[in-house]
Amino acid sequence: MNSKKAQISLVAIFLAFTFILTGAFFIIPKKDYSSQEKRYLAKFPEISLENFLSGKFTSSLEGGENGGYIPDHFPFRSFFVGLNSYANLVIGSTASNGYYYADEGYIITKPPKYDSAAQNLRLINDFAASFDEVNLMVVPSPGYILEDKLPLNRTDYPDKEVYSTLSREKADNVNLINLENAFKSENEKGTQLYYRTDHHWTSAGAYLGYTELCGDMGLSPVKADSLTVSKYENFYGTTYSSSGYFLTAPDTLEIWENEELNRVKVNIIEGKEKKTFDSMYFPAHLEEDDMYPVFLDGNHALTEIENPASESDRSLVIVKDSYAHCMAPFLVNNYQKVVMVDLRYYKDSVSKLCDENTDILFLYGMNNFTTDKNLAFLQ
Amino acid sequence: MVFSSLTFWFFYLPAVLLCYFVVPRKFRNWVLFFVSLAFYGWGEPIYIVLMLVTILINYLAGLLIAKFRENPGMKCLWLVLSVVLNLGFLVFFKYSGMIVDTLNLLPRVNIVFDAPSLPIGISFYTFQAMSYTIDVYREDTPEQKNPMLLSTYVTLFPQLIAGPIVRYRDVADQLTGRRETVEKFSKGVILFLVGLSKKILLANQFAAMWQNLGAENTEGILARWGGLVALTLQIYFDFSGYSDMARGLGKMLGFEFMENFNYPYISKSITDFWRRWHISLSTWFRDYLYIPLGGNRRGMGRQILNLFIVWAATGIWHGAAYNFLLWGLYFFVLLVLEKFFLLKVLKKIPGVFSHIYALFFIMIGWAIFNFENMGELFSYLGGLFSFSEGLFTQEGLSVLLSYLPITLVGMVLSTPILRKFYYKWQDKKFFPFVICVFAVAVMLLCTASLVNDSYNPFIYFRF
Repeated sequence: MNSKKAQISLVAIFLAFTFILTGAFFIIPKKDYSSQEKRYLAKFPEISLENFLSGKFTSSLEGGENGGYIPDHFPFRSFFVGLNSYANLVIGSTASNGYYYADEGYIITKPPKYDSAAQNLRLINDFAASFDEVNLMVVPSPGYILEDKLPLNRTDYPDKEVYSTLSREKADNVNLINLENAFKSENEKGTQLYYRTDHHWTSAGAYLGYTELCGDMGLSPVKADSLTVSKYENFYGTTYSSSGYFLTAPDTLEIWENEELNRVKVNIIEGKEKKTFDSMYFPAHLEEDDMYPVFLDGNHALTEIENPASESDRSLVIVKDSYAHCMAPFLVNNYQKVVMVDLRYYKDSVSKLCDENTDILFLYGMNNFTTDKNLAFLQ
Repeated sequence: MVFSSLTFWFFYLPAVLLCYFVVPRKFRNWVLFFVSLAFYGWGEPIYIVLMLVTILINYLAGLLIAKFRENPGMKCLWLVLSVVLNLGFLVFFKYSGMIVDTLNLLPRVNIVFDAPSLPIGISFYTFQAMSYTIDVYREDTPEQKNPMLLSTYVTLFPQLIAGPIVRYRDVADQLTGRRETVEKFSKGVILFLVGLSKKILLANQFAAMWQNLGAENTEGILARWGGLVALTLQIYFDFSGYSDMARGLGKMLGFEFMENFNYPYISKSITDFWRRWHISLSTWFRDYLYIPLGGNRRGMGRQILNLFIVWAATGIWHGAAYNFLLWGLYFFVLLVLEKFFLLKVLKKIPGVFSHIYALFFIMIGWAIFNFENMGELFSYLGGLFSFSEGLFTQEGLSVLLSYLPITLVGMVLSTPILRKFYYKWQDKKFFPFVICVFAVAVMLLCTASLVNDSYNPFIYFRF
């Protein structure tokens, strides 16, 4: 670099890059909330002598894992996150930020690292001891069913092992609904059981799970052709936003609705607060990137769905993760009341919610079932 | 604040460059002094006081030593006093926790002591400050009468927290007589970006690879060696990247600092390695410890003792834990063996074998450097030589494959191959274009990686 011109251009490029981003940071208006990350962004730290001396002021500016003011509001943030993910792909990493870049536009969560499946089963066994029967359904990992779409360099999903552990070690009165075969054969027929851009199952997947469950529990499932399907395009779910593969096409979210269920009442209960709605669907979420919360408004400690028109006098308690949200509307056809309990937020007794007219279902996605520690709160 | 952060690159650096180049030359050292204090105080403002006290001690010691130039007793007294105070601070802030823990191992000793948090960069700036006082004592350099210039030297932010350990006499003239030029600035940009990419694009990847393979103790002999390769590359690119950034920033401001790393992994002996690794530290210990102890001029027994002292000190300088001491003494043994016969053997055998020999012991060294817990260390080392765990687990294989391309890149870049091309092509017409494209690509990728670190989507949001 001996020519003056070359030196000047390099210096200019460096200074331009630096100062443009610095300038953009100050010019571009700051957002309070990131819909892509679904969290509130950091606020400018309070200016006080105490904050300065303790170093708190600077650490909240710079931030750590919880986000700081500067990184949270950095200009062109999505562009850079996406660039990082695709650059990682190019140099041979098949999973950026923990998500595989799979064929046909699927973004699939990597197998979880920690296995708490056996421990969770023990907790369910213990709980089942005070009841006639409890049902357990663990939805296969998307990556396990869609294995042929995954990149070559990957690690195995624990599903096979977990299912054999479950059937071997479950208590006698735990009724295990194994979806493995049904999902594999339906997938081969070309049905889309999981979303491409989200970690959840599709309504088709949930309906299949529902019919399997009905078969096992002696219920008669509502017919698929009596359901009205509505489609919503531009679904950018959790795997999309977490992976940073931002060039991926959006998926289409489907709602399979039984329009005859028009007297349903939904109570959402968080602690002492109770809100009542007259629909299981929350269309406001269809305006957001992540539409999945359209089903029952996403995660809540306790969600009660009442169906006064039901011919059944039984009720169902579902101890669940968010996989249940798009299956519960089907189950409402078979019960007069469905109660969803999320142990991540509900720390009270579950038995209290059950009586002799209650069926009990544990419904989890494989990933949560093998990593979640909140079943310890089960009582 | 570290160089490889959004805060430094996009906020601190632009502010510094603006202030520095806007003010007239005669005030630029003042600017440097104040921005360096801000840099240092960023994390723990309270330790600015400690650094200012260190500067004051060495400033006064320099003046007094110069004043009593004709009086050896007094001259020596001031030197000893300043060295004791300098090392006293270092020992108190860095090693007191370790010393107390060790004493508590003795029967009936139970000292309750809340060790202070480690002031960032104290090992580096203490050594820099001491080099000034000792050089004044030896009359290698005149005393600095202007306290601001001495302060600027000690606090200079580019090399404040991770070296190179610049000796006062090497930059004394630059403090007042340096010139900032476009040529220096452009070289500074290249060095800074090289360092930044070493740290962010390479070292951080190897850190993740080591985390996956080594730290979580993935079983299998190949996985363990893969992990050790990752650790070896991580430490080099991290540390030398930091030194490059420091030199680059120095150049932008008109300074020239010494090279701190000279492709250490192409060494063909451990002796060679330590001439190429963290050169400013080895030079410091040579000039201010080994030679004053008598070096090799007092017979073989004394030389071995001197080497022992130097390498114990080098080891413990790297951290307040016994594995660092062990690491230093490990090199002491290897260096003594090389001095007395091994070097002759290494010179005779084909280069590839001496290279393998050197890399092998360097890598084992990094394992010692890494594990503070002896049990974990020996379990890891054991796994390197045992087939009983198989070659790798499935998880291990997947990690190895994912990082294979970057590992190969890392290996190639630890040799001087790029530098060769740089010198070969630097007069070619297309070369400036290549450099500019490199700069843009690297800046985009580094920013992307830094931004991604803070990107943290919340999946289980509750509305």
